[in-house]
Amino acid sequence: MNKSLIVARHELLTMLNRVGFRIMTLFVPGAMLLLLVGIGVYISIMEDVAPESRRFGYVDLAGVITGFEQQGTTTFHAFTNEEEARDAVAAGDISAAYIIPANYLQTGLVISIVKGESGLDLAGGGGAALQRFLRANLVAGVADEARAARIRDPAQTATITIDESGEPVQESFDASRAAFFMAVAFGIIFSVLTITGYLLQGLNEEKENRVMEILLSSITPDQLMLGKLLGLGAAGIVQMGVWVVSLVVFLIGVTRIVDGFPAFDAPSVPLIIIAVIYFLLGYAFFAALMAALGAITTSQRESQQVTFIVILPAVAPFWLIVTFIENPDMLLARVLTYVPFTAPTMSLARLGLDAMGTGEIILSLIALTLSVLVAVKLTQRLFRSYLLVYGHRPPLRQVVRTIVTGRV
Amino acid sequence: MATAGDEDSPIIPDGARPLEAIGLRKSFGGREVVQGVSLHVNRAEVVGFVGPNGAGKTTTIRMLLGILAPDSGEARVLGGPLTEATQERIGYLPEERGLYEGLRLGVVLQYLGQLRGLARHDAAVRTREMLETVGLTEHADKKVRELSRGMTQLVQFASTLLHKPDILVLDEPFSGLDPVNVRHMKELVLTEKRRGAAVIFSTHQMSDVEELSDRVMMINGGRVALEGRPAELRRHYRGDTVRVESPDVPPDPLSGAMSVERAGESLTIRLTDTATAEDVLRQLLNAGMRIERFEVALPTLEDIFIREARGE
Repeated sequence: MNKSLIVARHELLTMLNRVGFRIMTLFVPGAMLLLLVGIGVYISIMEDVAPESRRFGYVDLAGVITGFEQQGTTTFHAFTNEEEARDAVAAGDISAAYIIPANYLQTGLVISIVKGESGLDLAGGGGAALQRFLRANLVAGVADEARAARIRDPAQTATITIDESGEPVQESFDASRAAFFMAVAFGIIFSVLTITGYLLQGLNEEKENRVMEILLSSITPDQLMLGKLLGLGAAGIVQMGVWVVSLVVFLIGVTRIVDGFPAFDAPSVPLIIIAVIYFLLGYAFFAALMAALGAITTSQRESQQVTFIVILPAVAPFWLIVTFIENPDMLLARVLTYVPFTAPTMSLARLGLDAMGTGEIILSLIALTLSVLVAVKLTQRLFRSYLLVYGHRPPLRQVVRTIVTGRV
Repeated sequence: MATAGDEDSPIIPDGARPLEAIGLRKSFGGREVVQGVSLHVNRAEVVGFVGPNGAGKTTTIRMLLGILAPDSGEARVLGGPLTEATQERIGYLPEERGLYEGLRLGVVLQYLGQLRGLARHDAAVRTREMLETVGLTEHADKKVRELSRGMTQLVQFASTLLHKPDILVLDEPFSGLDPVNVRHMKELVLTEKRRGAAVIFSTHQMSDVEELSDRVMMINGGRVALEGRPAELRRHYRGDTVRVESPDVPPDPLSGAMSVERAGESLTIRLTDTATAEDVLRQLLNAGMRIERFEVALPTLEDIFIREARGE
């Protein structure tokens, strides 16, 4: 087997056996599961403690409602048309109105009209009651497969938010998609920094334990670096895979139980591919930088003192995240799309906000790819020169000379 | 035709030296720490590589192994330049050595075996064999940090032999070892020599060199200071030291003596280049000393080492 692959396999297995890595990888799905359960419990409690708010309206354009308007403490009032229902919502007579379209049996789509700005209405939401209401009516007249399907999965809601006058409020962005991409962007940078942090730690351990010289008597610095990048990159893909799947499950779950939360549509395949490319390039860039730090530092304590050089610019965009969400096309956001430290996160965040054109994506990926090549080249020079430097860190001037000339 | 005994014997091309350095030079920060070192190690030969601290031993060894690139000169392995294939025929034990503390012993050895060219299955088999050889079979599933220091040192040495190397390069192999492990490792070195391996080891302990080496090479200040078989070297340096047993005090000054050391009734007299043992004996007798024993001493390798290191 190629020696780089031997190193890669060793690094991957070692990483998967690290307790810290397992905890970190499983923490996200665990937290999301807890959050989902918490939201469900909260909604359930609010339904029980606020019976006076449990009045909803509906407009049945599909002809599926035959009765069952009283569901526990929740009452569903029929309206003859959408305008009447909106007026009732705007006047506060009902918490929400549900428009059951004529093609409901085919689509399962129910339009929820709520009052407010966010489109989310956890406390007044009638999601569970609506499900019971629809099921009761559908079961009463089950006759064909489409209807049976609707009984099994009665509603996919889409929300129209209206203002005081009853007019729809224009949604500025797809909240579900934006949330997904923001979470992925955050996950990517968190995963990349975690994994590359382990890369740095591993290099320092190999120097401190004096394993490095044994390795270098069997393998070249380039093979060692490539093996480490591949192995830890594979570990990063495993981690990101677990996180993304759990995020998708979480978002699907939230749309089911939170009334008014926009339906989550899985991203398209091209978008997923672009996200994976950003992850891989971002990983390669930061891993190369961390490997360079690992080569020139001599202990874990020393390396921890200098990693801020890499981490600080990587997380910088998150300080301005609200500004970027409000204005994803601003000049700073565009510039950071091309800066290698921030490109993975900024690009994914802007993709989530649908603010990046194809040209920008291509240019950003080209810039990031070139940055990776340069970072790997420079790191190779440092790797070849300083992996066996124990005890003292080479002076900055010497490091710069090595980067420029390739010689100590 | 290649030279080979049984299946464990090294395969070395006829006429080729297993390990050879030709005019190696290396500078760091403008200081030339290795200045044209040439050496070689033959099949089934143990070479003791000695020199004071900072003499350039480790740098020379690293260049022999391709870990450092020489500024000039060439390292040759099995008759050719160092390649990935020939590098796998070398077993190397560095001076500063360690293992992955958090990994299990068996896992570490298999990994190092694979890096030295063994297939995964073969690495597993050889790991079991080597653990048996060093008596640590029952510790295979323990983490390295759970082993005693002595056990760890044996494992380090075992890792060097995993792939049955043709050439063994050992940098200070016995430093820090307890006497039991030193004995065990010396036996392993001699076993490797009998198998046909070419062995070079660096050390500060001249007793180790005298015990193990077929040939000695000393470098000092980055240059080869002396080379030869231990007995030849001792004969070469013979004649400049005499040992005298006498209850009397020698005359002072003693013409032709570079130094006189007295311990009880024993005198060790180092002669100047021009003096002879007969001149000194004559002076002692003329001074009325009662001579109970007088001999021209063969210096130990340690004496030779110290004198060369001091530039005497």
